[in-house]
Amino acid sequence: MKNKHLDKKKGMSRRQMLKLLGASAVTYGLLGASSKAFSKNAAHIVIVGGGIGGASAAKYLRLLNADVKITLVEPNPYYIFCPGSNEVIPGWVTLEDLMASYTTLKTRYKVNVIQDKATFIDYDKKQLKLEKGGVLSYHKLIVSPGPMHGYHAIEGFNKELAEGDFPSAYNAGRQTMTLRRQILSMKKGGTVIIAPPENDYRCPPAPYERASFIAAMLKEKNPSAKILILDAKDKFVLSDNYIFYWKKQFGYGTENSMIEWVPAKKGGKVVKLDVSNHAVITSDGQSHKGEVINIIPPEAAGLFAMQNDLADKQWCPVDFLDFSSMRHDDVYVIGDSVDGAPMPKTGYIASNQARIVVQAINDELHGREIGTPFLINDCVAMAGHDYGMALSTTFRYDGKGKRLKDLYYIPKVETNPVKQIVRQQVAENWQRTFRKDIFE
Amino acid sequence: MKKVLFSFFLIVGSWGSLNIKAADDIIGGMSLKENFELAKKFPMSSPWLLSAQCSACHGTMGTEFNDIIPPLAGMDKQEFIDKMQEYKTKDANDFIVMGIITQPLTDEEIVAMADFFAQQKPEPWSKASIKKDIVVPDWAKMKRGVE
Repeated sequence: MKNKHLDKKKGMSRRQMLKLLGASAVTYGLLGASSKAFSKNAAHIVIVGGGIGGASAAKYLRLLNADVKITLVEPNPYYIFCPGSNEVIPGWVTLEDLMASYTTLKTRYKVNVIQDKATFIDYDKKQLKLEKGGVLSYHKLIVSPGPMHGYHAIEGFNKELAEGDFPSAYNAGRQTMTLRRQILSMKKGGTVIIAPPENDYRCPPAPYERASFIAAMLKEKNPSAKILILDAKDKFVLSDNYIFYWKKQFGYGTENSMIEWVPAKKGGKVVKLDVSNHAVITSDGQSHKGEVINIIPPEAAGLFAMQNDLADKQWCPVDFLDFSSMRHDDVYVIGDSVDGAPMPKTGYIASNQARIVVQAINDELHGREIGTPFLINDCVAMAGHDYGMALSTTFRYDGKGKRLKDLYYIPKVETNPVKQIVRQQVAENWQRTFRKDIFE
Repeated sequence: MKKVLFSFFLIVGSWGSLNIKAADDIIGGMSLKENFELAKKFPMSSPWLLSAQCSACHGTMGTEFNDIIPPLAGMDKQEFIDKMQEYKTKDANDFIVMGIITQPLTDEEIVAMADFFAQQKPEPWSKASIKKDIVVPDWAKMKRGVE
């Protein structure tokens, strides 16, 4: 491990970077040299991961700099947005609504999108190796792999089960559809178990938003059914708002409540999946049977980041001035894999981190001081079609290169129905704009 | 039309203005006072970065116009400043995002953003669809999802 701060910009001196803007001879990797539109000497910025973080980085880097070569490596031919994917479960939107292709990035923003899986970073040669054998030489590497789901943290659970009868559905896709089908075909009066993980994880309010949406769905189609939230935490974000809504809509707190929430201190933490009995075992040894079992496992930095020595233990440490890795030079990490507290792990944050990184890279290319970062996050969530929330936070750089300081308000319970709907409209419209902002 | 919508937005926002929060209601890593001290201590973030933080809601460089969130591109500089200051001083509540995120901004930062957005072209985005060439998979038949 390197001490990043002792030799911070040693990997590439400003003079070297400036030379790239000029006429120095630089050799390129096989695939990286393919785009003829760019100067042979153009700096090559390679991005790993075509999710919200990676795609934003590609697009916004191009908005800042017409001359750099940008390559994005992503194994999937399209991206499915996680924001909005809870709405797929009750059928309010379809997965197709949430899909985006990389075409606009390729054509409008001249990004070389390679459909392949990044496997290995050769830090000495500054090369990225791809699964199909390709090698990309980079000047700067932006890593945005998304989180890794720790299925094995729950005894008896694994990825295959999640892709089969026990969907986690925490990356929008086929598992989301499985979860929807299971709930639709559940017997009358059945139980849906949702098991949210301990902090930190992607989109903190999502498991509770999901519970709300499933309850709305069941109220209509299967009103005697129950939702049991077995939580690995003692409290959750926006709980005042959710509990207010659950009381109003689903009898929360009464004997007939559709939703029951069990915090960790009351034995809520799920430790084991009992496949043969279709049940989960909680930390107090109790077995809970569920017709539908939705375990959301704890998360860590993406596998690619872990395998390439970018993570300390669970997350990747970065310098918040520019999100450069504390462990390796000329590499930046953004999104859910970052050790980012007090920043929550949201798509909104990932996209705004991307803008900080590309500005820092562009500043460095032009020999300027790196600009001071400033960040906004809006955790936009809904409780139902008629109740929305936004937890807004701003982050300022505090100069230690270690942490950004946050300033935030927890939205209070909103009892005015007009305001509830306006907030919901903000949440719904935000999703649409956000999808376009990243991919169009 | 644009003007009408902006006014609507502010009227809606002002419903909550009766219960302006005191500074000590802020929960989080720092107080507003500390925020402004940090703002003074470091060079101001670039107008581009400050404004780009708005893109996720208001569209790339403030160009998106949707049902409830107005565009910012091409907005008159003084109009932008006035609206932001109004959110900051009269709408310091948790009703909508703007009353909150304007709180930590300095006057200088608001002016810089006003300048930036005034220079952006208010053209709507191209009609290019972000999913025009997607072949929708058959989810039920797919062995593995996109992970």
